[in-house]
Amino acid sequence: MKNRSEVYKVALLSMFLTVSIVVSIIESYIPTGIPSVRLGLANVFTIIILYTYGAKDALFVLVLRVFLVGILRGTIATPTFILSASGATLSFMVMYLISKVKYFSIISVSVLGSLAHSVGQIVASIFVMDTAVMIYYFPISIAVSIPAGIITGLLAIKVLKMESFIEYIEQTK
Amino acid sequence: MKRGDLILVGALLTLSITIMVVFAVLNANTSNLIAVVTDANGETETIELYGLEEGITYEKTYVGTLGDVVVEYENGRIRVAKETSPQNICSKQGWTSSVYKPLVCLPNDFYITLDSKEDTGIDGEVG
Repeated sequence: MKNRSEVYKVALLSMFLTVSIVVSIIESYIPTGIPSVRLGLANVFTIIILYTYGAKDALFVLVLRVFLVGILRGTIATPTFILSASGATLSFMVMYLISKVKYFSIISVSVLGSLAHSVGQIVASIFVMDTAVMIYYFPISIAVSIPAGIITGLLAIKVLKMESFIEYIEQTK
Repeated sequence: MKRGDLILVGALLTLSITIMVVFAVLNANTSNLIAVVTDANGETETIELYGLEEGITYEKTYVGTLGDVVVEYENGRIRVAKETSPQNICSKQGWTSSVYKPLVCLPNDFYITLDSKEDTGIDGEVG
């Protein structure tokens, strides 16, 4: 029943993509008062997919989310989009690498993913704005990435441990 | 949570607090604050934030990518009062009087950095 399991998987990934887009857009209207700093709740879905289906599917959904959010918010081809894409790329790379280290749990993956997102944005801003001024936001980015990463990590763990979720995932494999 | 998580969180927290404390200490030693304003055209203007009359707020308008950026400044501090952007993060950052807290308006390609003007106490030197 490969076709059926494929359909189940596509349905789940589509749902995750949709919800993560909605979460991203809602979050963009919640100001933190600090440039490039956000809770990053949509990252919960990247982590869940990374731990259930692997890096390829997680990256695919992440790329789609970044582009679709850019289109929906009208920020595509703007510095905001470049920063967002840079943050997401570095965040994914770091999360993938840390997920391979047994010494760390999902919490560390999430915290470092959150921090890497900010670092990616700060580095991109140096090229976009032609100034290193954003580097001063690095310490506050670290401070925010800790609670943000812990919250998103705990949410991901909660979903990954849900019996109904595990049963659904089994049907898609 | 694994032991590695706790060590990582502790290390990041320590790093963050250390950098912020260092910034605060270094900033406390600055005097004669100046603001360097860079607008969307890449033009810069220096505003002296010292020696201004207390209680008076000065205002200047600059060019941003999405519209005018209104800057207010007083003795020892400066802020972006009004700007057009999707989230208005720039104006929500409020006042800054720290060399280590610049104001960045990314959608407007506009930013303000603070610096300390060296006061030599003499106008010039004859060698």
